Amino acid sequence: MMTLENLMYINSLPYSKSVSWDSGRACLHGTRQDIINKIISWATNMTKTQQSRLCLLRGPPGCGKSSIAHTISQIFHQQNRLAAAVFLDGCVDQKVNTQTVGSTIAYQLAGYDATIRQRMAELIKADFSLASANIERQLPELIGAATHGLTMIGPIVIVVDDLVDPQEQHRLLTAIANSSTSLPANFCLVLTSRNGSKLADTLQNEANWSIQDIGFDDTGDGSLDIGKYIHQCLRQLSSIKPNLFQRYTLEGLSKLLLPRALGMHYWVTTAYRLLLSSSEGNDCSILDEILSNPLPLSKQEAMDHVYRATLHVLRDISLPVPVDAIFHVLIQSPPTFSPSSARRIRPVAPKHARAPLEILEELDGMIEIGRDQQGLPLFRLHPSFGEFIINPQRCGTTGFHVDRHLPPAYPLAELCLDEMNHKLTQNLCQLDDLMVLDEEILDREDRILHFIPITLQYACCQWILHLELTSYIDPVVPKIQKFLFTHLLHWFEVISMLGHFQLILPFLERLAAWIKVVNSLLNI
Amino acid sequence: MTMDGIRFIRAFSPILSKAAMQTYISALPLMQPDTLLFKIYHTETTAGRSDLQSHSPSGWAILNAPAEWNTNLALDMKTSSFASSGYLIAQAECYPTNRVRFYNSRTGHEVGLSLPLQLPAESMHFSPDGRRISTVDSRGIISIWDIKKGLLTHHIKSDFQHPLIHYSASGDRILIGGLEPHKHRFGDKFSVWNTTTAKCIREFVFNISYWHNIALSPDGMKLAVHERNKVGIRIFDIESGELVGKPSLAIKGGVGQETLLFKKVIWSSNGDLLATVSMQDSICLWNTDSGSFMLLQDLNGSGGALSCLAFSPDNSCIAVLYSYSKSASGEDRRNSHARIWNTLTRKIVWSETIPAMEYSMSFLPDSQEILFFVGELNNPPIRIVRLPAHMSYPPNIYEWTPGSHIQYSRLTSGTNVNFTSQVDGEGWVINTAGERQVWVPYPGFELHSEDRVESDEQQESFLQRKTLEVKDPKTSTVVLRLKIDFKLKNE
Repeated sequence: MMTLENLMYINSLPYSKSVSWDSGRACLHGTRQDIINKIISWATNMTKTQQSRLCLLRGPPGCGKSSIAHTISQIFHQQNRLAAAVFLDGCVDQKVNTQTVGSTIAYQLAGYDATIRQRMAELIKADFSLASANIERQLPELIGAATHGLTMIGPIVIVVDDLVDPQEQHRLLTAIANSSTSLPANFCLVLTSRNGSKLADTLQNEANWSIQDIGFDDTGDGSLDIGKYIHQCLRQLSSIKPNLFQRYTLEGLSKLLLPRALGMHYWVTTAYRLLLSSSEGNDCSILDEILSNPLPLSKQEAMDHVYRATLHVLRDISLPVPVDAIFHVLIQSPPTFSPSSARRIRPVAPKHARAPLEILEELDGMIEIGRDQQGLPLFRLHPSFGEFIINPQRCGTTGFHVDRHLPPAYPLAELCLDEMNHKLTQNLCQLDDLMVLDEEILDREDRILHFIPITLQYACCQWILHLELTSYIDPVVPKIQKFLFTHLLHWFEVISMLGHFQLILPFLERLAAWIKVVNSLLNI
Repeated sequence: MTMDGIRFIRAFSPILSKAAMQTYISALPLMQPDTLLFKIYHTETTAGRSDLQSHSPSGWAILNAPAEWNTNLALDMKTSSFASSGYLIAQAECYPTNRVRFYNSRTGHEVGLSLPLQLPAESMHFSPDGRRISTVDSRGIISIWDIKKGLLTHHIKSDFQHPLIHYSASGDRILIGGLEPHKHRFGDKFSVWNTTTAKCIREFVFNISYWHNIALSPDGMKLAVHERNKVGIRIFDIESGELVGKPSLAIKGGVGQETLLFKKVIWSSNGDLLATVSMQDSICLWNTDSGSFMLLQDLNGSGGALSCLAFSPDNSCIAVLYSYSKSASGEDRRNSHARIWNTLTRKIVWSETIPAMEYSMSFLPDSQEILFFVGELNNPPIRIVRLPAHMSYPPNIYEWTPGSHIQYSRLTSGTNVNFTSQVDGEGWVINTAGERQVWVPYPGFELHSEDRVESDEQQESFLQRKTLEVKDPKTSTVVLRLKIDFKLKNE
């Protein structure tokens, strides 16, 4: 009975429904990571520093403030630390003002914790006017009083998206700024605000506010909104690929792409690089494919359209090893998507044997995450692409799908050894004068291109890497034996011709170490 | 095969890195004929070249003394200690000069910078990579020097009167032990230090009889220890101080217990093997992973005493020196007996008596040469080289015996098969028309060619049979002999 009575009092708050966070509006996985990590770190460490308990995400309309706020809400909800999240831009059931915000925070707080609910009910019962009071009263007298002295360890997060009406937004920020000290010390508030709010600017110097300026894109300079960014990309594209604009004007194409990007700079970048790197003819069909899709209803769907077009291109490009084999290696490197696991995929000699990873990087299906101590690039799959490629519902029609629980469909070590065992032969570049020095061969690059297929170049420069990664020893052993006893000198020749002679000794030493490891099974 | 490949690449990288096709034309014929690589690939016909056979000398041999040895180098009253490592020997001089000077171990010529010492060095220890040397003075202070820069990098004050040192392979860590002050026995304390920071990593307490009963692993992470009156070897992790590995290497059976009491333990360069010398001078090789072992040599009762034992840097062999104070006929005569085993096959590959007491032994870094320094340094070291000598870097000058040669057939379209009289500056053998014929690792050496007299009447298609000899211009020693059958190409 007591509980029901409490609920009745809580329900008397003029709160707004359908204002909670939405995973569909959160940032695409792997984007805006820097600012998200910064806010998580701020919230997690806040109680220790006591420096700031209010975080304001400030930026121009459409820059992604709300998406970041949705993402923050999602992350803290998963940790059971989200006490309230109020996103009023989608609210249609009532007039939106600061009172709605105050009541909704109070209502969600009551749902978050039974003690708060009990206390709030008692407070409203004692003074029923609190239920319909303005935010300036509700914050200290209802929310502050109900949470006062509560023992809750760790950060408790409240997220409030900004209000469309600038006057109401000003009032909201003022009320929160004045009343935040009435909340327990471990409560932190994340708010968003458009640029131009004078109050937001003046708060910059307040000690208990942490102001985060949000740009349009955290990979670029962030100064262009999505429309201008599309326009800029198309303008660059028009000078490089004029054929794309035979059927479209720049402005016309820009208008067609805008609703398909759903505000995501990453979408635009991926589509731009895909069009840039594809051959003539292919680019038109890719553009047609992207435009033929119905307007996306979610960011994920928008990305799927581009990823599918990307994979259609990859399917037609002749690459040294199957692309899904590379996806498989990347996906299966534990822990999934961790930057450290990408260390294992480091290409050894990317100059001649251009690794598929680099092609993917150009397409932005991959992102480079840094360089190792030797200066070699380290790769990982973009998290959103990783989620796409392991989900058969999303990537099913492309012909590419990685089941991370299955062994690789393409044993790369075997493929490399097969490639070498089948194609290596003496004088592969068909030199007429055998006494010539490598540097004296005038058409060396042409001969390499003509006589050493890119697949063989890749195999010659990467086989040890895949051998070390393989966990299927038995099928590899006879292939290694054939390589050593039939093609070892041919491999020396090709590596010397490619200009990578310095690779041979480390490769052989690594092979000797590998043989030592599996020596109980081998007798090479 | 992999190890052969590594050897092939190390020996011939100067030409293979520049000319891909010389893999078959120049490098393969020069490869050691008893290697698997040569046996497998010598039948592969390279355009215009076939029937490759190699009768080049193979194995280990004593090399003639170099003519230019610095005879002023001597161990005398002014010298307080001596050490050798790779291409370097170090001699510490006493008062008044108080310095360490370095010499080329092949020529005895002084090289590099000398190191100024405060007190004479009682002993010196090279790091295995040859970059550092540590000197120990009478106060027990260990000074670590950067040899290339001639700079003192760190001092370590030991608790011992005469500290002794083992280095890890990279020289980053050292193990310090020694005699206790004013006592003529080993202290039971041992410490492992980081030579870069001069900080002690961990201390251990062991009861050992000989300094060589404890050894620091090449990676500096483990200690192998044989304690007094305890059978076998135990391996300790330095970071944790705990016992590691499966075995204590104290496997019973097969050999007597007394064979498992050791006076010396050393690690192979890659840490895979341990070699032990028993109290009766029996030598065993142990696999550090499995604990399995093999008795290489049992010298019990031979009258000799083992004095030096070393793995080659590539771990392919292990060299041992025994000293005898009497000859087989009983007369007083100081000499030594050297033996080399192949660590893979565990077979003796060379065994010879050296007519002098050895002083020190060191492998050169390419594993192709061993230097035995005898008591008097005004005599050059005894050099044992692995043949063919051209696979050393730089190539050794070793005279080919008359029957030794490398032979192959070669198709030629022209009649010009005459060679110039000298190998060019890059090592190319060139014909009189200026065309490269083959590469040899002896730039600037003399070339002598003559038509071979033995002709095969049944092979009428032979155009010419040539013997090509490469000679040392200083001594006219033949260092390489090629026999080439030139066949006229059918156009």
